Amino acid sequence: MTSAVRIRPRVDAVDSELGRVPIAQLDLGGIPRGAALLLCSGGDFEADSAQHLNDLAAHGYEGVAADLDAINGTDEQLVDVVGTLLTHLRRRDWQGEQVGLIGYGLGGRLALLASARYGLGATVSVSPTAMTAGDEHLSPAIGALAPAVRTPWLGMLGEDDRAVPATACDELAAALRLDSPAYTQLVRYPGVGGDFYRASSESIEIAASYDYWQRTIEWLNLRVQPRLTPLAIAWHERRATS
Amino acid sequence: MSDYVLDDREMPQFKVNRETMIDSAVLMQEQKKIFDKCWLYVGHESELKKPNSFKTRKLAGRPIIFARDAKGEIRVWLNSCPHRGAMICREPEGNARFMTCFYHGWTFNIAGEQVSMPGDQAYGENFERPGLAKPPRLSSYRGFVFASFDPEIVDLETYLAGAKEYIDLIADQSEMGMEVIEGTHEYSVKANWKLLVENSVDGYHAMSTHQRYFEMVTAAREKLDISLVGKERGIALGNGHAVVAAPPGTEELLGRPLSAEGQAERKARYAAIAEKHGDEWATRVRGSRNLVIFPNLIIIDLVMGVVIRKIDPITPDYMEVTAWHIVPPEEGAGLRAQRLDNFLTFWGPGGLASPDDVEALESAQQGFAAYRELGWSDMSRGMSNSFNTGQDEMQMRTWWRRWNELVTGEVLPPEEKDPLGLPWSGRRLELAPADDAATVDAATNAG
Repeated sequence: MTSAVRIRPRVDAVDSELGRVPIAQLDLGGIPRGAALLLCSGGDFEADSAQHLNDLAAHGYEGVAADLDAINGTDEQLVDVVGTLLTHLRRRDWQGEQVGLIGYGLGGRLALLASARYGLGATVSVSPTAMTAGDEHLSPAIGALAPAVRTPWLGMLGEDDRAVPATACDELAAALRLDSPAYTQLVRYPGVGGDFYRASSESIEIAASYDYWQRTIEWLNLRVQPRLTPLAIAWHERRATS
Repeated sequence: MSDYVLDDREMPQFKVNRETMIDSAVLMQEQKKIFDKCWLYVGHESELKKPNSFKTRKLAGRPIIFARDAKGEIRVWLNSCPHRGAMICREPEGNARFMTCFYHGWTFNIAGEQVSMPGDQAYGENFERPGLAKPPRLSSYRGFVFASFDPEIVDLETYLAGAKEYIDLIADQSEMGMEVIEGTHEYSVKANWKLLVENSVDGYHAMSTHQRYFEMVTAAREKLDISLVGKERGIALGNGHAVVAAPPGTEELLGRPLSAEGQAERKARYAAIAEKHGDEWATRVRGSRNLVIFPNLIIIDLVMGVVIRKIDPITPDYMEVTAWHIVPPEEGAGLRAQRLDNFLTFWGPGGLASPDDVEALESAQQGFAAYRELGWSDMSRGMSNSFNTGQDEMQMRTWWRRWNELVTGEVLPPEEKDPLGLPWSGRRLELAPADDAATVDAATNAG
């Protein structure tokens, strides 16, 4: 997963309804394939955002990573902040369907909520938090979200993650399969907990981490609308008028 | 007169030349005159549940992508890059808005439009960007999707002729719309593809070839009720399609017996069908049927489940078979479990019936090595009768006459039989408002 060439992302902040959100931003020259927005929490921003942005750049995605640890708010407010970050991406002409949203922990939960609010290319939730109602069952609020999920969503969790027990996972998968108008997929990794995506010396966690990243890139590549080249835009315009 | 089919109405006698089973020149003619000229089954709409879902499979030897696009339209694309021919999609199924050819990186959306190609400036601004190619005709009848490579072919309902009614008998088994369940049986047989077509509507072979299965049924039911054997009818449906249709009662003949709850659920479903479409129609639904839709689609609805079987010739002595199970999605868990058990016991590649059929067909294919000394297979059973039972062979003769017409141009008239009475003539009434439009022509498959 290590990029051959490492680019240092630009560090900045985006003003939101909940205050300033620190971001790391990696812009690419030429015609990037798409854009990615990473929602980080639990210290992941500091530890991983630069590496993730570089790994995404290796696949043609420029991106922004946001540090959610700097803000607090309700789900509604936090999803509004995601909207603000998407607006920030639009400054570089990225439209919703050209954006892949990847969230970790709290960001994973927001990625699922955002897939019901915004029409994006693809969303990915890694070890999303606060998915249950305090027991082993899925939170009714999350279950009720399923009919609104319109962006293809991929969820990846560790089987030993106590925050999302098997029953809640099964209920989430069933609700999305039956009620969501978009295609969704839920992957659970055996033998690992909620931090399987972080650096580890345990082989089973390394395997899960490798697999989750590969699935993330494939999920985006199959769904994020590529940015058209000037010649492609001209061809589409010509075709539309002919 | 045809070199391949001998149809003597005087004796009477019907024979098929075994060269049709071994000659690669015949297979080439079949590909050109049959598979390129008929409506061919692609899949069932229920296999593609969400937008951007796809399945890859073969149609008349071509690799295809069977897909539901982002707007919900059913699409069929040829799975070959317009650039240099590599297959765009190499997965058996999945969900994707975009597909990228791994060879040079050309990308297409699932609506067939080209989205990008690396280094497009090298092609210049006037380059016409090709999209994915498609079969010229696409249409579906009650969820069964067909495509044709003949742009001039008649519309699907005209083509289906009398077979349409037998698709209705399947589709009417669910209020919500029948659904193909997850999982596919894929197997191959070292035999000519037409042998499995014949076998699929051949009631005559059942008691001898499937002895093991009937021993199991006898053990499960303590006795074997054979009172319905010979009560079925073999029926010609036009355009080479044919069916063996049995009256109600096979639920007492085949499969392990259903539980009392399962029987009650079935009874309630038949009552609902009678309320919606009349008693005569419900009685027909309760019966069983082995249907062949020319050339290579088989739908068999017996008490143990409904199998959709697609047969693809590969070489004269080798075929590939794909089979799916279609069910009423509202069915209770108990009845579903019994259905699956009975289905796999009979139809599964490791079941008690399909392997016997495979053995019989492969044995026949090996026997065809003696074609110079023993050149013809016989299908005369029942020709002299005024009606045709499922034990007779008119359904095969019907199929072969159409085959002969398309391959050689010789038109052989259908057999004259007595009119069918009840239950086979039972009509479908609309006692409650219809809830779906039957045929959907995909004129929009223009990409």
